[in-house]
Amino acid sequence: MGIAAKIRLPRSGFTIDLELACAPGKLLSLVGPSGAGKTSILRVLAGLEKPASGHITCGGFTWVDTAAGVYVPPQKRRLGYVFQEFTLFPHLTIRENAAFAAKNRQTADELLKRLKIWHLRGARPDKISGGERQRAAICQALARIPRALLLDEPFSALDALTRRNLREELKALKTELNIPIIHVTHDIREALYLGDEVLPVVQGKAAHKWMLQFLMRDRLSPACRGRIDWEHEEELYQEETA
Amino acid sequence: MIDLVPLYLSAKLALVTTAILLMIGAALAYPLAMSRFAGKSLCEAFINLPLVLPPTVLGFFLLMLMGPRAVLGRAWQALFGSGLLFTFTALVMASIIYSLPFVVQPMKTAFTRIDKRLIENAYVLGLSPLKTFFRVILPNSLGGVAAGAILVFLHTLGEFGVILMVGGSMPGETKVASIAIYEAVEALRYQDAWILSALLIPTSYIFLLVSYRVFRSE
Amino acid sequence: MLRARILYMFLLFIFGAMPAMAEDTLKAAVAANFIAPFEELAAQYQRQTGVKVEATFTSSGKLYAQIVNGAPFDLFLSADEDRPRRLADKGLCGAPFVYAKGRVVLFTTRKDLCGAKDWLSIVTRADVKKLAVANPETAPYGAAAKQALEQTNLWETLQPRLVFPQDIAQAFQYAGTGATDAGFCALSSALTKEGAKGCYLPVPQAPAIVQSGCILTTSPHKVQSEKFTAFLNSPEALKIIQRFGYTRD
Repeated sequence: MGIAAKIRLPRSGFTIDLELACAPGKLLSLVGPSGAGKTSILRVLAGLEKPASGHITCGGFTWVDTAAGVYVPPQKRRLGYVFQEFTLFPHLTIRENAAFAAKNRQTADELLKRLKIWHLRGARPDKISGGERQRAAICQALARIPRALLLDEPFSALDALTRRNLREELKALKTELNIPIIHVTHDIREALYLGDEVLPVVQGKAAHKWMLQFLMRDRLSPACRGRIDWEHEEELYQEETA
Repeated sequence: MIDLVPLYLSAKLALVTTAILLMIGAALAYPLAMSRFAGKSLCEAFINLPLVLPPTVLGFFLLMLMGPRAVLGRAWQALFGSGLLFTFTALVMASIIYSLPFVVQPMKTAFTRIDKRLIENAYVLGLSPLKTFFRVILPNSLGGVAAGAILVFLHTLGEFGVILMVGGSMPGETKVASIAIYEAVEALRYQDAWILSALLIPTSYIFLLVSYRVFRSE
Repeated sequence: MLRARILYMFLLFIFGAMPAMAEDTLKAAVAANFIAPFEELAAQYQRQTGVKVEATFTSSGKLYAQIVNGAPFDLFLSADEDRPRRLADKGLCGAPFVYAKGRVVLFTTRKDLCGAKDWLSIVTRADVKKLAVANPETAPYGAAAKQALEQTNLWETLQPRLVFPQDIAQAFQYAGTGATDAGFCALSSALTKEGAKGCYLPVPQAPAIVQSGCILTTSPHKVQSEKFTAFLNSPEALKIIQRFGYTRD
């Protein structure tokens, strides 16, 4: 019983219109260029924005059903959400942050230990590194025993080495947690590494498979390159997104 | 021996006004900072009105409202059985209106500076907007709260024109330090005027010290 | 270049004209309660002599403080005898003279109080919650009212009901707008158009307020000031101030 959503949301310049689904224990990566609406999709899933039309269910609960007038506020959805930054409350220590909405203190403390930042528990967020902050943010989100975990470009602001370490952590957590995880990134390598499924999003819509190749253009092996008519691909891309 | 009761009244008025205005100010600053609604700039201009009105004009206006034959005065009489004008309560009301912009502005600025994602995170973590206000917004706006409290306190201590109109200079009730100093000068009791004025300085200083301790942890 | 010349001429005209204005203008510091009669007296004087007398009206206390600190007045018309005497003792003005005597009355706009037999029966009523008395320390009319209340043994008992506006004008404002149920005011206020909206009762226990004035020693127009003072003492002036509720002796 994972997440299933169909969302329609107008944005400036385009309309977000797509369906997605993610099973428990699986990670879905939304990947695409910036401004494609990936963050908006996540915000709608979290309840921070209302879609123009659509429905969202998770774990058997209906969160949004515009046709039936159902709308569950973010407070009641019991989700975990990790922002790129500004997730942690600056006036609290790491330990207090983790325990903020935790099921109980022990859960929070165990997560801090699990993510290897127990030794930082008394520090304030501005005194620790970016990678450590994101670890703490993940603790905070998971301490609530959420029904699903949403991550919005969680590692984009970090250096390559830290990014790699955190990716490993997330991958390990995925199997332990057994909840649907939806993760947004503009880094295709990260999407491919973490995602059991990858959903490319361009201008608010799910992109087709040749668009994925287009996005991967600079990573494609030279053996492939010659066989793809990039001019034609470009045209198709323009048509699709018009 | 000089009468120090006016000093006590001034301090009492300033403290009461500050305490009440911190609450009213927060309640007004929150929607101004967080939401967009029709007539928002109209509301803000209205709140800032006491800044541009001469105190005696404001005092005169309140005098007209609070008199025993006027709207507010009559309502008060009906509710509480006694007049509103020339009471300490009237001074508190006048001070609240007079100093309102001084508390709303710093609070609004402090609230706006909080990153929206912190607030959204609180919502996702299960906090209602009210709980979010007390557990997230307020602890991260203490600088603005302190600034507002200090401004209101000092502003009220020095208040004269408005109190002149609606206070009636009743000893022990509405004769605050600023009025007493004025009367001392008028009555040629210059020494009394000096002493009262000089004593206002440590009163302000003590409050500033306390505010800095309470509101600024760094 | 031309603009500079025009500006220069303009400034010269202004400053050049000023001494000329000063020739024909006297500056008087006048107690607030005497506004109405003074304006008529000044108008009459100007009609007769062409000399303009400009007045600053505020409480005697403030005027005194200003004069002591060198304010450039020619004349001081106080609401009491004390302040001109003090100034004379300090050598800041010449011999004081009495220019008017005022009386305190109890004024109210509450029509239900107007038929009372005397002022005492009004102030002792239970439904008279607030009474305005101008600050006795600084306003001579307030001091006279206080004397009346002390004489009738009411000063202490009425304390909770007394409101102390800063001057007699504010006392009249409070009583006139109904902010207080009644107020001890100057007879001259009660006789105005505003005063006609209410009624007043005499307060015989309050002594007459002897208002005296003096010519400041720093005045550059002593001769003119003395002429004006003589006018203030004339029978003509007496007729004018009587209309406003003042006497001279």
